[in-house]
Amino acid sequence: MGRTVLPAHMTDLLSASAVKDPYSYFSRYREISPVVWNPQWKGWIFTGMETLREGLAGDTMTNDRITRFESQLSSRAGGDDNADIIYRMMSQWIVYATPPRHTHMRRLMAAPFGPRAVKEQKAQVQTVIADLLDAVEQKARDSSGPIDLLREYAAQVPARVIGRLMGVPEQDVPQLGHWSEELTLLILGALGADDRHARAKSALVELENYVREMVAIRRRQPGDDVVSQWIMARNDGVGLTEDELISSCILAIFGGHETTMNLIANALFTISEHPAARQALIEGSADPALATEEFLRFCGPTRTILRDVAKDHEVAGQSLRAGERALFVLAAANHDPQAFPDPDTLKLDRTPNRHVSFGTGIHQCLGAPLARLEAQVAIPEFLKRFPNYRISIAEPEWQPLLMTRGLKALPAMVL
Amino acid sequence: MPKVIYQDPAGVDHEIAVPIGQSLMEGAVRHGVPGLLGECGGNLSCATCHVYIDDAWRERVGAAEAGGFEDSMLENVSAPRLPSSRLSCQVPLSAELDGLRVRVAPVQT
Repeated sequence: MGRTVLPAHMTDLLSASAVKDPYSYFSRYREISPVVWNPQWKGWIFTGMETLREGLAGDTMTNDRITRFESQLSSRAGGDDNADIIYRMMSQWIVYATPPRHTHMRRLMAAPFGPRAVKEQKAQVQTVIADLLDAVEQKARDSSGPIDLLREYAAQVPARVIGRLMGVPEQDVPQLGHWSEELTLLILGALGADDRHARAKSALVELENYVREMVAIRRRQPGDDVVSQWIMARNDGVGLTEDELISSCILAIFGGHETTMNLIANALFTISEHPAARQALIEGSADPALATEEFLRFCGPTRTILRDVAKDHEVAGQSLRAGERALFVLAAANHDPQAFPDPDTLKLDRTPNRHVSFGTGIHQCLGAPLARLEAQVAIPEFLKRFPNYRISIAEPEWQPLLMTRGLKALPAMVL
Repeated sequence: MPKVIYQDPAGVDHEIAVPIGQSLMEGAVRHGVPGLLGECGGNLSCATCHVYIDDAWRERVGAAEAGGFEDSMLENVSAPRLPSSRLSCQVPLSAELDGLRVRVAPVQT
């Protein structure tokens, strides 16, 4: 046992080819070993479905990485102020919590986001999307040029839906989307990926204030929205603390934004390149639920997720040591030929389709049912409304991000 | 090794040998029984491993503890909750469950 080390020429996780087509790129890693050491990134790369599942669902890994962030944040976030604000908020997030605190928080937060609770929101989601399609059509009629489907459609869906679910007044919803995008920049900026963090810091402060006010209103006048449900939730008689409540609301607003936006946009782009799939969606012969699972698998928005190794162990002939970091390439596992026949073929009726786009294990995405519902409505309804849409640039560009598979823009003529 | 017969949503029976101690969910997903997701890997977090226990076996399998967390997650399953409903990740196989028959819920998401 020991380490299989990748050769130097294939270690750039954000090379042009890795960004453009991560599926081909990471298949080369998997051919060497499903768990392999990347000497440039200095960590383990998991690309095979079976070992990826075991790593995420077992007890060999931890997502308690926030302490590691703290030093990164202080050194990069433009001074201690930014680091303090970001760290304070992120440190409360359920994503970085460990059992038993994690279990407690998950039990408090689960009810409004479960499959049945979300299903009850279907009519609301259909209304939101119908209104949005009207808005897109109006923009298209008013403009002589293309519409950016990423900003004008895909980004709007999760912002409006989570706004509705949390009882945010209609007129405040556009601001939610704006804050979500700024928050993404802030976190990426603090981790050294972007320069716009200074401007974005005020967005976090504003968002926190907005959420604090919203929580105060709901305490006085509870409704049937997610915020009220979270205020009232109890596990063994204990509820969420004020800080946990605020940061969970922020996570709910922000967590589903980039991801769901990219799922929808990636799907619309993929459809434009697959005429048979496009036809099936226009005709209504494609089952929306099955089709959504296939878009999640084929072109899902989460490229990789991170963990730290929690304890020394052996996997795939490799010796992993506690404290080392690990990159779980969901995109690669979703195209693993050992998990899916013809993995690089889009099959809208593919079944079974047990992908890992929402992760697995204790941190498996709480928002999964909601994301599924949004995509199951947003994608087919777009095709029915705008069956003749055409992407107006020859080759849309992908964002050079480690964890995200998302386009920079998706300009299209829809009418 | 105990055998479990899983009826999938298409009505097809799958007879699977599941080791003692392994969960009903794991037995199914390891052998590709259609219709079970078990997306959270058995951590009571996703409600996508919903099955209906055959009447003849309900007493031996038992019900989810009333007021416990499986009970509240069962309130959130996508397919109708019946008295025979269990989240299969919470049912460990034992020798006395040899021959267990279950029906995979028609939808999980």
